[in-house]
Amino acid sequence: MMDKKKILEVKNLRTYFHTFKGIVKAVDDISFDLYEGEILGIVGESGGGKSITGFSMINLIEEPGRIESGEILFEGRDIAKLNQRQLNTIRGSKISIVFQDPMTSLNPVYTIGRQLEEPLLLHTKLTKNERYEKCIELLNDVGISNPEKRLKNYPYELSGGMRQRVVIAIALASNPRIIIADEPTTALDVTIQAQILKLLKKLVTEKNCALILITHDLAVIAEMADRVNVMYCGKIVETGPVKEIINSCSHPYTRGLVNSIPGIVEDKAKLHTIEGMVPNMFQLPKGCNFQPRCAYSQEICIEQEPKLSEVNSMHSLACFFPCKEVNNNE
Amino acid sequence: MSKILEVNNLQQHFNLSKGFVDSLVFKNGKIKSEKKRVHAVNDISFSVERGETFSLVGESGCGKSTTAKTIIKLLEPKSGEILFDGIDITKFTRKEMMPIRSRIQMIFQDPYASLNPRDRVLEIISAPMLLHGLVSNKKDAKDKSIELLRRVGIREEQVNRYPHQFSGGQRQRIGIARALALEPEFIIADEPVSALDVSIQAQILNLMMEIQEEFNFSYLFIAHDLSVVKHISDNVGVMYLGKIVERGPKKEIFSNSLHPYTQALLSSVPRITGDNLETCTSIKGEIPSPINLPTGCYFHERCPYTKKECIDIDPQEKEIGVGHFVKCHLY
Amino acid sequence: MDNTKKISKLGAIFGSEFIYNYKKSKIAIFSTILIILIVVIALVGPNFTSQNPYDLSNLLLRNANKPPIWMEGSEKPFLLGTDQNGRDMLSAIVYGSRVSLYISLIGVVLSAALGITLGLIAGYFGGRFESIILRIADIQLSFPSILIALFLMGIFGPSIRNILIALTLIGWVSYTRVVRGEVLSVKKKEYIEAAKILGFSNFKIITKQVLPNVLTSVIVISTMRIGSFIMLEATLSFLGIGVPMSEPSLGTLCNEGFKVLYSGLWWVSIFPGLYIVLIVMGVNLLGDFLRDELNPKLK
Repeated sequence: MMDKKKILEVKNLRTYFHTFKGIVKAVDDISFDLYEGEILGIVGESGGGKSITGFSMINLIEEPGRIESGEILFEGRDIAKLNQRQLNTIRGSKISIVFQDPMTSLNPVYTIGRQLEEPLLLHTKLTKNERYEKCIELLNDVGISNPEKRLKNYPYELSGGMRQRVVIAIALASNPRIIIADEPTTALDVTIQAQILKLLKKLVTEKNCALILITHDLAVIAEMADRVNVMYCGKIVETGPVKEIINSCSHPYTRGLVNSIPGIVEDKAKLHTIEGMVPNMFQLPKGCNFQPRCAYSQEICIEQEPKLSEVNSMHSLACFFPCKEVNNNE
Repeated sequence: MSKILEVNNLQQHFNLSKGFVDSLVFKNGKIKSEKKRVHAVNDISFSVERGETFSLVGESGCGKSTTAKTIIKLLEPKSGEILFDGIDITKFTRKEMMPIRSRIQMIFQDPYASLNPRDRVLEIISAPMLLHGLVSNKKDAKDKSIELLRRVGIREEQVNRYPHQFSGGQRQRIGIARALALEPEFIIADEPVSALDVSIQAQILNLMMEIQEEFNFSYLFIAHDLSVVKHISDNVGVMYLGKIVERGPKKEIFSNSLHPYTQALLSSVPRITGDNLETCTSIKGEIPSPINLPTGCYFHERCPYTKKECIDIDPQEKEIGVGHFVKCHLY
Repeated sequence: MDNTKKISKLGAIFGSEFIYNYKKSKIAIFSTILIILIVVIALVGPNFTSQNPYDLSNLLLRNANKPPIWMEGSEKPFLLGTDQNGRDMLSAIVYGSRVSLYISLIGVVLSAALGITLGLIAGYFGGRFESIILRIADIQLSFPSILIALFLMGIFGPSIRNILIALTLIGWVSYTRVVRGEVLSVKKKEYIEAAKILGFSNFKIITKQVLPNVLTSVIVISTMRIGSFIMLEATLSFLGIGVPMSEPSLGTLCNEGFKVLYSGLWWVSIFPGLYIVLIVMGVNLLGDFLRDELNPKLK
């Protein structure tokens, strides 16, 4: 992994929302890298900050939110400091995004062909015929049969799974280096989900781009991602190779997430849960954010905030008392 | 054990065209009247024993939610039979259903839409108690409600709050308390944890299992998440396009599935072990529209084992194992 | 987050974000103050006016035709001048506003009651009820409200009671359409299904579950309606078929003043007119603010 090229570097990113009730630190001082050709998963529950992280990568944050501080280094530039015009040269061409809901990601009044052509119009210099050929090629790549006919269809004529394929095709249109997928299969049925995930994995390998896969489903991460960032209340609490994190020593929150999944425990027995609830984002606890729900917390957890520390060269976690036992899965 | 619920040949459909004029179409040079119907539930039969948890599982559009709403008479069944504790409630009027209402209740999916935002939580729980005469005065209703809410994890000082002041998981607890308020014998849970985070899901599932043991009722559990279904069910029914294609004991369905759709469904689920995606057999195509149902076996267009008879003849239900039924020409 | 206070119903309905935005909006605060002033004047004004302009024994012809205080020839208590009968304009406006506000407020309440009821029935039950009610509404909307008002007043004759009937029959339509739309979306919510499953009767569900949830849009319509009803009544009175002269409203005063406009007594018509504008403006500004604030919450 170390000989892969680093294409994105996020340093101390902070994205805050200034609301009438106070400041929500949606993303609070996170740092991570992204390498070419890899799938990086960002997992966490609602409010964890994973979607905002994804949107921050292309500064798609609207009032009352904004990127407070930090750097997002891509191709020698800091995305956090670019203006709209400069951002538009990156969005949709070098870094593209696949949203969650296929029903609303496509504009209902334009044909598929028109919407697929748009990134090509904006970011490439292809002629009309070349664009048409490229659209056919893209639809074939994402596994849509009869592409000539599909280009003339409107979104309402397509099912959810097909729409999501089209959205992925649009994301791929100008050969991006990074694709950000925000819960791309959550709104789809499980059989269609399997199709789409397989497709994404195939495309990442073929096109040699990188994929940031944002989801709350740990099982999807386990199937797809190479490395994973586990986020809780705006902070990365653990990061590292997927297999290692799921199987061995983990942050108590990650441990809790893995154990909450039914199927691990004996049937009809009580599921392991994480006690309590996600804290109110306006009144985060002192010290470690997870401390009120943690079974292993002690004095120091209330006083100080744990920083990410390395377990080995690829695996870091932010906890004073990480669990040492090995998880048994299967 | 006696059956608390028996459903026989239940059918439900919705008319899309409103009235005569709307249904006229111009086809092949003639004007015809074509009634478009969504065939949501197409002749299903199953039963639930006392004290058991029966799950109906399937993907979107398979008709499981519509089945639940029809059984509880939110929708009038178009044909078939619903026997609750031996009583035929299929054609019961609103008045006749009143005594039944306190015996069969429902837990809903969306914690943000299942509670009236204008009602205080205490009101939400005590109003049904007063309506059905389970308590004689407001004070008793209040005490009972507070106790019930405490049991599901809502503290006493919170009972006068409004729903929007609670989190999704808490609202779902309140919904569970509401379902319990009338001390029912049968609870239909329509995707009760689908809208919740994984760690909250676990809490709510634990609660649902605890109260089932404590209060001794039966569940009809509707879900699309197979791992949840595997965890809590005794028996499972797999639905596809309004039909139950396979049903039986949980162990049988999960380790010895017979119907090709069930097998495909089970193999598509991502695993935490991370080794499933490569090997899973994804079924081709998409779910057909319930407006224009396929001929013969509804699954024949996507099935890897389709034979000639699958296209023309709808398979009959056969019992293969003990209590394990399947509708497929392979058997 | 743990506080054991009971939040009032009002606080729950509007939420603190509403209060926050309200305090931030100068327009909202300004219009509220304006409205409060107008209401206070209408309620207690008569105690402070220099005369009761309706009591004919009060009027002295020698006070007639006096101009407002900043012009030559004016007299002390008559700050805004007097009309050709010796009536003090300031007092007349205060008394007149009572009539105008009374009529428009009662008119709003009555038309809202009728409109909301029909809207609830149409939305909740659908089918034939809905079709009939909506068709009547559509037909009525194709007539300008002035025409309907003229027609009704022409048949029944001018009186306060008849004006109220006319306003009710004109005003129910917008309430019905909006409420019906709201009911359609509330009807689908799961808490309505839950109420049905719990065995509540349709009547109980409509009044206790559906109605409270459609009230926010009703509030917005009502504020705008007050303004338009004041205008409608003023127009009718101006045309002479509104409120009778014995209890003049602001519109009637305008009408009276219009007759002597060309004699140079401009203040008799202008000041009541300006006051109408002030009331309508205050109410509309507040209505605008409420509409912007309350609407996104509904979605």
